[in-house]
Amino acid sequence: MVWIRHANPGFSGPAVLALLLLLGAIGGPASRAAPQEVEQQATPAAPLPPPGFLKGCLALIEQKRYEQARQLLAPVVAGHPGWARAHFYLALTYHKENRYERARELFQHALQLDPEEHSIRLFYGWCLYYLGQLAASREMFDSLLAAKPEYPDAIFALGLIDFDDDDIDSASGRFRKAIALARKGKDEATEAKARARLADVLVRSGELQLARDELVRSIELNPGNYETYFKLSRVLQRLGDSKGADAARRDHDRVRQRVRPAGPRQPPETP
Amino acid sequence: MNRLRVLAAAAALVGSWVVALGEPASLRFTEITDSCGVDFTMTSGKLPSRQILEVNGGGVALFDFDRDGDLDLFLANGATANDPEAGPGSRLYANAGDGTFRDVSEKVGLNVKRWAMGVAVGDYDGDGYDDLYITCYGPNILLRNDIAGTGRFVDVTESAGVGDPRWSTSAAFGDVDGDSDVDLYVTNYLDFDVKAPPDRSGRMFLGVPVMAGPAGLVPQSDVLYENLGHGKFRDATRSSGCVPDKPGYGLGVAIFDANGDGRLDIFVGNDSTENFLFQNLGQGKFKNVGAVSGIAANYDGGQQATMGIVIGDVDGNGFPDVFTTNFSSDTNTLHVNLAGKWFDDRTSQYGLAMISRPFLGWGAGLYDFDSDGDEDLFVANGHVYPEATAQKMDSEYEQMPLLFERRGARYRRNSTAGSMFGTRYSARATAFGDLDDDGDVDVVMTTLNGKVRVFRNDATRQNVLVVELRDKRGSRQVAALVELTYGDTVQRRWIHGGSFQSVDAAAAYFGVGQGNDGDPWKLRVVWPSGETAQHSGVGVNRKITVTEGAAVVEAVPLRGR
Repeated sequence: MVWIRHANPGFSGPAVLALLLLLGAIGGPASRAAPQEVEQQATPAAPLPPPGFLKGCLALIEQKRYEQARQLLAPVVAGHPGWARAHFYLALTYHKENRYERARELFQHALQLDPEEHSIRLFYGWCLYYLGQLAASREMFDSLLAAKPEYPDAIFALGLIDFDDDDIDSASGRFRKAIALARKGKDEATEAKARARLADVLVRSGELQLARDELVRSIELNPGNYETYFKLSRVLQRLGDSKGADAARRDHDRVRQRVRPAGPRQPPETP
Repeated sequence: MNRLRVLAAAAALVGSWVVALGEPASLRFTEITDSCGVDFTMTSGKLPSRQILEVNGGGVALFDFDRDGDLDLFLANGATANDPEAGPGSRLYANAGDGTFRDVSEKVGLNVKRWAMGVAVGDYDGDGYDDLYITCYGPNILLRNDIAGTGRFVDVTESAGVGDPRWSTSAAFGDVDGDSDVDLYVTNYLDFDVKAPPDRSGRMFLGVPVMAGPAGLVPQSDVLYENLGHGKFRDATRSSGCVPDKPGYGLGVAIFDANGDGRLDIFVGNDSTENFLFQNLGQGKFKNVGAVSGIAANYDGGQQATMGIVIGDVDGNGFPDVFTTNFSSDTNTLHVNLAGKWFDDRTSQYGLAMISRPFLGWGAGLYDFDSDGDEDLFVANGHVYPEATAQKMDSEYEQMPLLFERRGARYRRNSTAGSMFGTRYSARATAFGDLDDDGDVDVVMTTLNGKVRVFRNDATRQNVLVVELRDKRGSRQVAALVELTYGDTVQRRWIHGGSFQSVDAAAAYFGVGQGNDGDPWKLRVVWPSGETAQHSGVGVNRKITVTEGAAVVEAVPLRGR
């Protein structure tokens, strides 16, 4: 079991999946399979795909070619209903497209097949979060942290759930812990988003200058997150720095246009 | 009262402004559609919807057109794409006084067959009778209420100069230039030719092919009509400064004093583009402070698909907060007003954020449905894409309305207050008001190409006060702040028209719990002119009429009690 980050839209993308591959967290059936998978694959209803099949699927996901990945994965999942990792990757294709209800079913099934796989638990937790099922999401992240107490992305997620529950003190503590762990692990993306969310807590409590500092640091760590510029513009405006606010708003528009160009209606970015 | 004071102190200790004024009330609604006489199916193109023109549905208004003391019902009805000028027609239902209705459309000369979208109610000519402005796909229509004369509504669009020919959605009246007559703001959506609809190809939402728009289509600018008196308006959009840097896809508008300076401001909700807040600078001039104030977008800069707009003092600081309904896979948004200067997205703080993601919200209302002294929230939902399923889009096509009960500092979903909260509808517009004169707030909800639904409030009965306003000319539709002090609590209501394409009853409804009939109350009214008046009295379960400039208020018992 290794640490992986959640592939949420604001901070994720190909880098996450590349990281998964580099770490060898998720490979093909030959490289790593849970015991029950091996057992269930011993008498498959269909022939096993060639070695490297899942790596190929991950490459497609990395290239945002989700439909193509699905076309490869769907028949394999149908032919090998006990193959947890194939279900997991198929779920990822939906998750990456923000189609969480479809992903949820597949994550759930994958987790039933491989309850020890932390990465399934992490993504499943996020999936439930995006579906607004916060109690179930909390349960999933709690169960993950019971096995891996210092998993920064899960701690960050619980901070978001606390924030939605208006438990500000707990949210603040979790974001700070996520920041500390991310720094330790040199995980700048997670540190950046945790700082941006810590700023939300500070804004709520009226600590605008501290919020500004967190947002500035967050942007330094991840200049590609346009939402942080917007938050910074709001804080600077309230601090009386209109010029700075205007500049931050322009930065927001510029980065947003680059990351998320105008087009047909899209689901909003999620935390 | 000792018990109340203890409760008030306890609430203050936990940092909540909300005070339970009496025994716990039980929220309850009963559908009375089949028995109340409103037997009407709305038209908005055909199902399944294939064009964006077909998905908004029509609005609804509750107002007393005949001045007989009860709320009547207007329905803005659509048409079909093959003939948008000749639909089945909008309807007017008169209230018999007990919450039952009969169709009087023909009797009063209501002959609007054009594809109607929304409605605004205001006494533009100051004769004391409420007039109707109907927004349409095609030229909008102003109907002068001549019930006192000919007994009919008269189309005065051309002479008044308010027939904007574009696709309009919501509209609102308000005296924004302080000259004692009501001006008119109209939101326009986008450029759309029903005979040559945009190509669907390549339009996707969450990987599913869907109809085109609004993105990729040309937004239309809104219009502010200044009332010149003598039945005439002029387009004052440009001269007033109600011109944003970029036009939005306008869907909603609310006119209210956002910063407490005594002048009416204009908030515009736009689809997929920034919302506008036109701050009233005085002398008929405005400045868009949407982005600067923080209300143009949600907490992270997301430009949402704002449909419904609701105004209320959620945090009890005396300034109007703004709740908006939005698209699925997004959240509804509550912008809390920080002393009239900033708006801060506090949706999560009040428990209204992630719970709304599976829903696509339209009309909404913030009312004290259980009359316990705090305002609850009703949201009508339904998806625009016929392809929507939980599997495909994390959101169903037909959806349940949401009822949020205010409990302490948070809102909690209540799914047991009536069968409608477990029933899926393609709901759209809503209007709120006391249909049966018993002092609590009932609900009218339209559905897309479906029945108009009427829900009677059957909550545990608690004491109430209902406040109606009359301006100096006798007009009833007055955009004003009404503040009630009762016991240790202060409650505020902004009368501002209504939510998406619709008009709520022009009244301030206050629940005062289990107070005694002899308890004193104080009222403060901030009129559109900026003038403030204070009144006091005793007794609950009354309808209080406050007339601008009058020293004495009229208070009569509620007939339905």
